[in-house]
Amino acid sequence: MSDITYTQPDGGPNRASVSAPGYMEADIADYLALLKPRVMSLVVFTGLVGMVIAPGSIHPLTAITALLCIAIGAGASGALNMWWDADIDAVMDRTAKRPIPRGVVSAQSAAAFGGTLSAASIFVMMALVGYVPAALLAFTIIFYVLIYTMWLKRATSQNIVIGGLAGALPPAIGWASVTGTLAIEPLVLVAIIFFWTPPHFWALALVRNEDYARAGVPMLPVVAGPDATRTQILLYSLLLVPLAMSPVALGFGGILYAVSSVGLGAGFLWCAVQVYRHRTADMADSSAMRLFGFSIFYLFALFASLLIERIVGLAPFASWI
Amino acid sequence: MAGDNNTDIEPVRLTPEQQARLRRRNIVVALSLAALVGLFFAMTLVRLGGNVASRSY
Repeated sequence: MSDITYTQPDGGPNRASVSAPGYMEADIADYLALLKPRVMSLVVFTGLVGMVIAPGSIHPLTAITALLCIAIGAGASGALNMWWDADIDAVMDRTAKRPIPRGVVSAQSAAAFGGTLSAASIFVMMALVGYVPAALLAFTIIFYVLIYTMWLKRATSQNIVIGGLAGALPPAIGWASVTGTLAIEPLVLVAIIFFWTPPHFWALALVRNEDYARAGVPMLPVVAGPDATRTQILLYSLLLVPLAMSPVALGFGGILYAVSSVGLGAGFLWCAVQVYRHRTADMADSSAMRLFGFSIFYLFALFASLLIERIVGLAPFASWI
Repeated sequence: MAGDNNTDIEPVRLTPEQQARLRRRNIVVALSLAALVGLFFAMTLVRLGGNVASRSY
């Protein structure tokens, strides 16, 4: 491997160095960091909700296997993303501490790690859970790595809008793990995450604008400016909030979900309006970070209410009226 | 000659800390593979279910 440095004992002209960082320094925690565990937790959670709301039954071990494959597949995508974007990560404050820029894991090792886990997660999903969830998982990984990471991220300000599809698909994978097919319900959950992604990431991009500009990543605030980004955040939020209420109308969201989606939606809109209004100095940054933080809570709480309804046996709201 | 040079190559020497990290990583890889084997075994039992126990001859 190119990780090892071969050195002539006399240090003379025959000195042959094929050094790359990593091989000897990386610990288990560094490889775990490549899997982006925080992103992974949200992905697994939304996949679990897709599984729980699906009709029919699934053996608990099959369910755990499916979630494991979703987790590993998502983590492997993260590792491949860190491999490809190591140059960007190195110049951004937010990502400079990642294992590759820090020099404890080589880019080649990250690529091998991510590639192996991607293939393994798809294969295990196919062999032990089903062809449809495996195909969806493969599509998710390929879309995230090839379409988002290798193409869109450096090419267009709509990178995270289109690329967000990869992060939105886990509820569909979870649903397909139970039913072996797709339906309107998981696709609505996919749409909710899809429309949630732009305001979530753009809120962070507003604060990290200089970081992205320095790295040459054409995020919307870099390309179109902060004010245009604030308008887009508000518009996407206005689409997201009613969309997030649609499970109630479609009959798979109960009273708890109805109350949650209204309350959380009001909070999300308030945060988005604050971002739109506060455009200068510290107020602008604090409003954007508040929206970023709340958006994570919003998605967790929204999906958690669906999960809780199924666990405690609350009937869908449609049957109440 | 290239062959003579190869005999002069000094092997990589790991520090005790590097050896410990390498060992930890190897153990995790081994445990992961063992877990995968166990998962396939358990899932085989799940998929076969009662079909084998109640099979008719």
